[in-house]
Amino acid sequence: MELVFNAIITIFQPINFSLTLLGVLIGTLFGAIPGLTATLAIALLSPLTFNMDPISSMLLLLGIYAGGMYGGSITAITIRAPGAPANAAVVDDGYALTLQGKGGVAIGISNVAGVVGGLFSCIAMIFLSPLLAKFALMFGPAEYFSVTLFGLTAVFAVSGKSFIKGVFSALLGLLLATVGYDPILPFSRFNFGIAPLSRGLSFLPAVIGMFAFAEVIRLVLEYKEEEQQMVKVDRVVPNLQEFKESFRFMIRGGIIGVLIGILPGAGGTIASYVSYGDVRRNARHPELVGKGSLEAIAGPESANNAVSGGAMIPMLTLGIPGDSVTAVLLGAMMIQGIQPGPLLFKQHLDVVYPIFAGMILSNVSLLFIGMLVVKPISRIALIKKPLLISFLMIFGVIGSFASSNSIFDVLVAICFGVLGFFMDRFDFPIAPTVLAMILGPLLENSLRQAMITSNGSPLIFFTKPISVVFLAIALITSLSMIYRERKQAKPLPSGF
Amino acid sequence: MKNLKKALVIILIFSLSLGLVACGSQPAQNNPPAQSGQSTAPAAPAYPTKPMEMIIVWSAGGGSDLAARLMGDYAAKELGQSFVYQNVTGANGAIGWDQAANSPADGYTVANLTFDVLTNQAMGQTPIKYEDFDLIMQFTTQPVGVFVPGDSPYQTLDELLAAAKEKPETLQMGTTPLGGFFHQASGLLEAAADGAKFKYLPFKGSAEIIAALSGKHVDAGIQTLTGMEQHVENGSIRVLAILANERSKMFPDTPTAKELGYDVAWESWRGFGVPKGTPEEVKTILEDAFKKAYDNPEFQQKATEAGLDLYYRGSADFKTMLDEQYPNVESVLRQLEFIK
Repeated sequence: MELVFNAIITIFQPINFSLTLLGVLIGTLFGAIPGLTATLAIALLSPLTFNMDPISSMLLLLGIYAGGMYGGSITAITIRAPGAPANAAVVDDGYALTLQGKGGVAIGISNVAGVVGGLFSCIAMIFLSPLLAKFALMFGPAEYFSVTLFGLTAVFAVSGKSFIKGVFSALLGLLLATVGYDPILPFSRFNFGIAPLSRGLSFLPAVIGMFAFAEVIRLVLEYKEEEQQMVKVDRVVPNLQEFKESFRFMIRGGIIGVLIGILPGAGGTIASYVSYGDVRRNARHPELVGKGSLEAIAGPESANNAVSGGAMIPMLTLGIPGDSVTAVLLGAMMIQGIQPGPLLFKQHLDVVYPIFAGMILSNVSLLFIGMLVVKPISRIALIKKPLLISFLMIFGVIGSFASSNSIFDVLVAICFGVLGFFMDRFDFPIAPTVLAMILGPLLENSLRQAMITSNGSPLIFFTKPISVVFLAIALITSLSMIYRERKQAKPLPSGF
Repeated sequence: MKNLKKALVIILIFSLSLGLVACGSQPAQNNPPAQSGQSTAPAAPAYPTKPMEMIIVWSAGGGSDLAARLMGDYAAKELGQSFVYQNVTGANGAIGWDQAANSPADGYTVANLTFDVLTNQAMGQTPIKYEDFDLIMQFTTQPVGVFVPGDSPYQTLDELLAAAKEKPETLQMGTTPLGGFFHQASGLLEAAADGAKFKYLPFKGSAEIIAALSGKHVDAGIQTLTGMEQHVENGSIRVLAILANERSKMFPDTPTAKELGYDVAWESWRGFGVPKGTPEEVKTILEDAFKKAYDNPEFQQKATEAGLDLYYRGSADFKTMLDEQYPNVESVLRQLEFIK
């Protein structure tokens, strides 16, 4: 108990308190700029923290972590360019809301959802760490494959009008995900002899291209001088009604985020898509999902913030990072002489408790700092079309370049922009491609590992209990989505 | 209308400054070490007179990246300048090394080298050779160990290898992608044990191998010692042997493979080099600065806290070691049937 009080006193020391706030602010800004992610911010700043006291440096980095997950949703909602892959799931609904003049409330909901998800994951982390860590260790290759396959069923949720076209888009994404290094053998494949392709298609430039650049092309082609009308940004704080309606999905998103966050390698992007699928199935207004639903913002944004607490669990208790941000955090902790792992909780509670307290503090301050930046940023919706277009181009180019300082990635983004535009034109949904590009490498890797383990027998997926459970859930969700869609849809046109 | 104009100006400024942030953030973030070292200006040729670039071929925040930045920061202090760190990742480091080797040989581009440069060269997938660099120093060594889950039936390396011999290709061995350093180490062990064969399960990196060992998804794993102390102390993972010439400080009670009669010592390392043809005087300045930085007690302490296994070789010794190691890399890859 004394340690808990000490932890609280520690984080409220002026220097620690202001570092946490600074971290949240930096994280939010880095998150909001496409291509600059929380991972990058932490990687860039961690050398500066070498000379700080360990707790202070951790608080700064944790602040960035919390801010970064939220920040990325701002540009996803206002200009259709997600700040980080984890925010790609809210692009459709967020941008639709912006066009309806409700961009402010959308960002507001995203902020509140982020805080709820983040706090939820803190609670899970504090009380369930040892338990959840044990659960995470039960996942071998077969279990990973099944849970990833379950993640892939979210394709049905993001498919829009036609499941067939959605499946086609997803297959395209899976195919694109195979470009680059083989996960088992040390060779690069499907790179057509183009050297920069040998490391694969970078994910963020592809996403920026398919969403932002495709939108640029559309805006230019459909531009009419007289059509310019001002969209008003009325308010940014969601009202009680809106909050109450989306709160349910903030909690559900929080649970999804924690559970996926503890699995090393899965990460925020998958959590937000799985939550999106959950919203699509269970929303009060399913017909709005994809066309501007606040519930569809609350779920994914809560989920990706909840991943932060989830991913901290294996990092702290096992020394195994759950995502790229915690990998960088792990490195930063080791530089400070703190070795996360099974003994951290036995020997270093004086470090563990301030980390818990710091995560709670950064999530609470996210509420205020987040709200502070919403109003000015949501005014982007007021910009005239020609300006918005150049704005999108600048951000898109910077974003795709910055993720790995490569001009080639800008070319990748532009090519995907053209692809995205034509897919949109012919009613092929873009989101399944994005989702499949994220899940593809995980799916392939775990499938091949499982096949090596079982000497090529697929029975391995049906003999491991956890794997069976996830396969069953995957099957049930897909069937129920298809069934519901059939029931709702008018008679299908021939051929579909 | 007035408001709109104001908003436009603000947005323009914002987007311009963002451009600067995106393109200029790395130099800005890494400048601080420079100021404090200004007084120790080097003698003789005017080098370095501007910030230098260090190309790191692994992603920001990983073990190799942190090690290189830590060493680089202290060396920069000695040089009275700063390093601008660039992470040029991909193709197992080949892309970054290619860029570094083809940079001007003026001492303003320093490459962080790791063991993988040898693997890439032996595989013949890249035109870059370790001889394309003039070596500056080696600063770490990463011995590997053979690990098993805590409750594994195998108590010694002998028992493990005997089982792998008795039932070839059934025991699952966790490594990183095939052909890489860990797989090579295990391949050498198989050869030394004369007929033992593992079934390899490749993982993305060390973290995944540790998870697989703790969760008993593999029978054994090859892994660097860094970060393993806690898992061993906790009992969730056991270490059977160290594949090095000497016992490690971390596990003094664990025998080396050599002591057990298997002549295998496989060492991974990190160091620095500059493009071939860099002027002698410049190289001397760099060597001296890196050596001084390495000997700095503050660096030694930070590096030890970060779990780095420090090991110094100057440019000549480093070269000798690589000349000896390279043919072995080729031969083990031949044995593993990656090259003919």
